[in-house]
Amino acid sequence: MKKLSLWLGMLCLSMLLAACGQAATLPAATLVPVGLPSATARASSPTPDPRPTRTPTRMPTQIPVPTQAVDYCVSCHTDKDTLVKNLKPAEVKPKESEGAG
Amino acid sequence: MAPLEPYEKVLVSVDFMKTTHGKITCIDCHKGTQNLDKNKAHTGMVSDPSADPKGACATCHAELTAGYQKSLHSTLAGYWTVLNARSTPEKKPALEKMFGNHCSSCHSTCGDCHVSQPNSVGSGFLNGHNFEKTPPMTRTCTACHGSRVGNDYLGKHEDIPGDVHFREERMTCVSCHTGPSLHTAPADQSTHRYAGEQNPKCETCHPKVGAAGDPVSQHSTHKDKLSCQVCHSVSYTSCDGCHVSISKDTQAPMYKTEGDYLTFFIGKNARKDATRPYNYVTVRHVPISPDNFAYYGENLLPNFDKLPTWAYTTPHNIQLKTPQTETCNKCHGNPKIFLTADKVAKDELKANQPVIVDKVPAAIPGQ
Repeated sequence: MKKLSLWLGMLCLSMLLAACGQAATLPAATLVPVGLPSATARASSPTPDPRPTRTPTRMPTQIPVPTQAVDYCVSCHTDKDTLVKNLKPAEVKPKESEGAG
Repeated sequence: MAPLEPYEKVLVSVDFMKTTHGKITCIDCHKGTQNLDKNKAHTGMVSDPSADPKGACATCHAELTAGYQKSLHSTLAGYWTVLNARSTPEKKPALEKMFGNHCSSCHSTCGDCHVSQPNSVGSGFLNGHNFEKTPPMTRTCTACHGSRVGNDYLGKHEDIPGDVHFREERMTCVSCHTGPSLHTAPADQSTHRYAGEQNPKCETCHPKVGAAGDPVSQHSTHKDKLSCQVCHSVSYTSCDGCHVSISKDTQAPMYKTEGDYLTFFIGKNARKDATRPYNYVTVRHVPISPDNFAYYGENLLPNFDKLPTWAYTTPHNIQLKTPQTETCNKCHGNPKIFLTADKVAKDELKANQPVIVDKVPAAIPGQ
């Protein structure tokens, strides 16, 4: 009985391995296209689809440079309080010229 | 015009960020660097990118910026035309130094009219860095052209009404001095504001004046003999010598005019040409005297007498009815309103010979 169980177990394992090997050698045309998952799909599937793709759907690109989150010029010059804090008070210069300019 | 608070001068409106110019990054035009530290951010910053005529504005407005380099507002050639006429080449270096200290600040850039108030009146954004297609008159045009144009035009002299074009139609400077005429100067008009074709001219909007069928007979009688202002302007500002120097206390350029006063004088036309054929025009004393620039050297205007000190002028206080339009003899036979020799300073008689009226037109009997 123990031998029969062992043989059945080995048979199941070999069938499983054979099935996996067959899937890996399927021609590219028969593969299910793998596109970029939509935002909702990404949110609903906790793990990414691990299936390998024969032809990559995206060409390798440069490593994206992180964009600057804050434009310091704009953030300062659109903020009245910051400008008031950073700017010196107006200097009252004595009027030295006389007459109509 | 109240001065702007320091923050007001540089506070950028959020609305500006939505405009075409607001889509361009700050440092694309103003240089400097992105940095949280103000001093580092401002290192290398250009406050007025339009100061370079081939700079930021030229990227998209190349035709305008190329033409603007010929404009009198850019070249200030009018000043040099009269300075050169009264001086000699060997005096020019001293005059150039004087000019750099006292006159060149009148040079205006694209930004001086369309973004900020001119430097000469303290600078600062007109409207949160928004680009104003039509510059606001009192914060740009008359901020510079105040004492001899703005005050007359806006009626700021007691008992003298403002110009009819302003009082009744709220016309601004650019109604007559149109954008194209300010953005460049044709070759014949590039040396002085009264050189070349008369532009603007009253006839552009008043084509029937003096033409066949004009019901005002005086227009036909005086056409081409008198400038329009002779009959239709009233008292306007004259100035005497403007003496310039550098302050001993602050090292800042300063000036002192000998005087300014209201006058109305009709003189002979010393600028007679095809477009200004008039025999008589209004004349104004301009702020010049032989020793205006004595701080910079001795006798810098050796040819002072080459040009009148009572200069051809076009006062900006036009009225339909004036004392001159009341009767013929308000002018004819009335020496009070003509620039006769007795009204000219003795040391300026020679300079003003071309404009002094020797013989006042005779009174018309019965008028």
